[in-house]
Amino acid sequence: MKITRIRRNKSDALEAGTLSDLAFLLIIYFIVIAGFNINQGFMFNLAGKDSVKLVFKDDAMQIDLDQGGNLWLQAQSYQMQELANLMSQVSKTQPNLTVLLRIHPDASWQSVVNFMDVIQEKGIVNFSFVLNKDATGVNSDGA
Amino acid sequence: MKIKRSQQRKPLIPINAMSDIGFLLLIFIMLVSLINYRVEVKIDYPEAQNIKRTQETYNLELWIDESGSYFIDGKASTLGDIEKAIVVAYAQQPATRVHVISDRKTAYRHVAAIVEILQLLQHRQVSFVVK
Repeated sequence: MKITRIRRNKSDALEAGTLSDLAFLLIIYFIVIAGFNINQGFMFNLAGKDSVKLVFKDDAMQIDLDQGGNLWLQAQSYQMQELANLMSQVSKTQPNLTVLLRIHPDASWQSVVNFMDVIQEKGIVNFSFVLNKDATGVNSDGA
Repeated sequence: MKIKRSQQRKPLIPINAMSDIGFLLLIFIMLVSLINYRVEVKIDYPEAQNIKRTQETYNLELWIDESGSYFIDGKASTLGDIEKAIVVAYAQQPATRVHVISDRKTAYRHVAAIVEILQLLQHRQVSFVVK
């Protein structure tokens, strides 16, 4: 009996094609993974230790951030959006507005970030944040 | 005279070579991603809207978890270790950018401790990483 040999199709191009597809999918995956390592956030120029900057009293706005993330201005509690609008209004009439944020040592980092976010949004250049020394007895000047 | 018609060959695309290139690219990108590999501390990132890219060529990442523990390259560190790491990084490469990566629930006092060290070392520019 004659056994017929099955002839293979010469071009295995289709199989090679799927392989290259797989390789490219893996490439895309690794490119995306590499993108995860990029840090994003806020850049701040810190003031020197014990450095002093003179600011006109009228240009200064001192805000307190308490433990619960509430904002206080002149013994009055404000919502974040209210304060953002107020800062926006004041900065129009007083371009040299300096915002000083005094932060309670137990305030969550997210509440500080929320305030920084508003500062960035409103384009306030003169911004300073300090650890509230009255609450701990420690003084730490920020940006 | 009978003119012979030259037989036209069917166009052939060398797909095998393409997959070879694909695999070489794959190996290259895998190696590059290994170079960029960093040890992540398990934290819940704070969130914000108006953020920008703060990544630089040379970076030093200081991690603070929810409890206020400090980490450098995944290793638990003290404030003294952090001070040394900043000094070493800055001495090796003055353009090093310091990134403070803190959990959203971390008490501010732990972040302030790092800010104080940076001010003490006259390292002015700092990046606060958020998502």
